[in-house]
Amino acid sequence: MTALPDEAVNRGCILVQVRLHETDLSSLRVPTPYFKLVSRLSYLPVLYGDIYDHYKSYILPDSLSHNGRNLWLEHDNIPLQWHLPVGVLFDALFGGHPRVPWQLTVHFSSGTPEQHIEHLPEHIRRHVPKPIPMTGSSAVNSFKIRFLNTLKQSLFLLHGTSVRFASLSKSDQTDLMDAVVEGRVDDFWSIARRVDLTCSAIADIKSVSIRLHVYGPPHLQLLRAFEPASSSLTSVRCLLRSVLPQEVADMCEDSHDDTLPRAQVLVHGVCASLDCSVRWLALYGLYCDQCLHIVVRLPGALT
Amino acid sequence: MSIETVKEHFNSIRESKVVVDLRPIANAPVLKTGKFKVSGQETFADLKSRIETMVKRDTVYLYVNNSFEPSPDDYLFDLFECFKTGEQLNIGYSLTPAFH
Repeated sequence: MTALPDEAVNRGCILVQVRLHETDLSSLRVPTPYFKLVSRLSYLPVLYGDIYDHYKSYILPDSLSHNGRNLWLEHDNIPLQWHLPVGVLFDALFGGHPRVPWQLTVHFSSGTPEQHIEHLPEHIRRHVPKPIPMTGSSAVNSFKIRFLNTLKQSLFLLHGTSVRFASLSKSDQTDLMDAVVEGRVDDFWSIARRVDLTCSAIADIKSVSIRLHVYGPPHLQLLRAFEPASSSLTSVRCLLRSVLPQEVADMCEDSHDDTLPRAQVLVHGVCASLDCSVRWLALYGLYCDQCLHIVVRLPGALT
Repeated sequence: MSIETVKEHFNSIRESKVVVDLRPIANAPVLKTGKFKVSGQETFADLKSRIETMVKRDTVYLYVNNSFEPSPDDYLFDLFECFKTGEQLNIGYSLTPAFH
């Protein structure tokens, strides 16, 4: 059997470099930065345990008491949304011009993301998404709850019912969640296929969650359900034209005039052709949360 | 500025009101007005804090179609478009976690 497109998708990785925020450093020794190659389909909280282990001897002991709940990551002063896949965050920030390693800063006790945002200049602050509070007893637990709900939400659309996930055995559910929490994306997919959560043919798909991320900044999101059998949205172009204002949809088009500002349309870090079939993406381009994430990056950056 | 144009456009897409039908799960108190209209521009987090005030609790657990809790930053109009039953969005509310 030839390599399926989704195998290529699953292997996409981003090199992440994490440094400790200077106000958290309580040691005379300066720690070396933490590096990790992370799957684009994975999530930032997957790194929290490793990052904690890497820096625990350099920070104040009382920074450690909250099960990682007070650990958070930022890029360039912007707290990152922990509930979105790493690849989506990265594409929104850098578009088709990635800068690697992706330089992140970890905070332990140097204030919450909310407090951090409060101190940003007004013109930047209004671009920063509101942080999603952690709701579980620990960061990993909180992430598990959030991911599980997003997965159930997508599966509800995919199969038209929530029964498929609810009827899984406890051990299958645990194996699936462990694979995500430990960042084992390949394992997640093989379990999901074995227990029949995924669809291998267009005819099996009832509808798919499409999450459109428009990054200006700020980062705007739109959620839509796409029904392959009945939808008239055959291409990415149709999809974008149905939800974006015309002048912005025009900016996504290939133009021979280089002086016109261009928007980038990215799927899994790749600049997608607007002729690309949404059906094909629905079958091969889903993230672990069973959503199709499409990032539109508008020209212009924070000033 | 194009991002402002997109923001306004999304706002106008989400302008219409959404009918939310709240149903208690287990021993959650029954609400006098379990069914009401809300702006589609509200987020799920907005709805959640509104219901927490209604049932006079610090935390409630909400489940669309008694299946899943959407992301706090999902907009009610988007959820309505994807998960409506008839012309309303059915949400179960519980005082303790359910469907886990």
